[in-house]
Amino acid sequence: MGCFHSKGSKQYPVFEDPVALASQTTFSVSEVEALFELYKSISSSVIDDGLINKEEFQLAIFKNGKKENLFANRIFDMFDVKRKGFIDFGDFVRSLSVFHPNAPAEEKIDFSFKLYDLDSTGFIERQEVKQMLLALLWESEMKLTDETIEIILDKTFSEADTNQDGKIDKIDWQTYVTRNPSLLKVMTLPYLRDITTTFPSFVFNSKVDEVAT
Amino acid sequence: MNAFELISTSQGLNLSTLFEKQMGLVKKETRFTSKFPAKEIVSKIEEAAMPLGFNVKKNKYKMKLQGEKTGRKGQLSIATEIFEVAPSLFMVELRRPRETPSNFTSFTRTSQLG
Repeated sequence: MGCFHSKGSKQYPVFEDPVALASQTTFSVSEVEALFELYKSISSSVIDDGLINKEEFQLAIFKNGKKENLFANRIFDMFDVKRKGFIDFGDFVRSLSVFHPNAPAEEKIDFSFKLYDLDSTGFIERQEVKQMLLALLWESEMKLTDETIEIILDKTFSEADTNQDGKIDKIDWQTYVTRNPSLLKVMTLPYLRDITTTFPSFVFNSKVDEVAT
Repeated sequence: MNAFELISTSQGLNLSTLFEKQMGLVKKETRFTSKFPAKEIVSKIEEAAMPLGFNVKKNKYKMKLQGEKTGRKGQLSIATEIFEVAPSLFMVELRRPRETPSNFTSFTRTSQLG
């Protein structure tokens, strides 16, 4: 079958069928095709190889390919499920699916928990939250005293850590974000609702008509 | 504020920039910190907004600024909220709804300088 979009002889590696991707995610086939337009733009920005590397990802988020950021690194690693060092189109679509306004809350809760569990121990530890807080303060050039930082951590853990063992487990997290839904705001991208109008895809062999919705 | 609320404000977690850059959109949201007491921040924003032709509505530490002049895409409207990060450190958040003209960025610069 080959690529569903090709510029001359350009082939995209690890091609995944948009119909299959649509069936695995909250996206429709047209939306997957629209996402491909966005993907093409990001994946060709530094090296035109059909894959998103760390520099291209940083460029897309910060307008600066060299900018290092703890949180962007975490997101990149979460998207790059098989830790290949780059994000392919399948990774891109499946990960963004979690950010769709209609994606189930459980997916968002699960993703955010893994995102903040920096060392993947299955717990969000106080030390990890401190590390993330310090990264945020550095990024935003906000200065807080060590004492204030500890107070913020104390407050957070007294609210989130139900058995007060210094760790937030998956159940704690679920309870906590359900009580504080604004914490999941980062997990929803309203832009995904209008993706087909934002990125009209002029794909000549679009799969849309072939699939009865 | 708790740690996760602060962490959520990181630019690295804001994936909307993936779309905004491609769409050529102006930033929807901007944040900055201030050591001034919240009440003073509210009055400074008001002072900045009124000469620019904004109608200011206040509710404690939330404000809504509505432009009187109608631009190409309608009225410019900005929502403001002030958060206490720590004693004597406040974070001001300015947000605009989707279809808004591009004078948002110049307004935010004016507020930051005030």
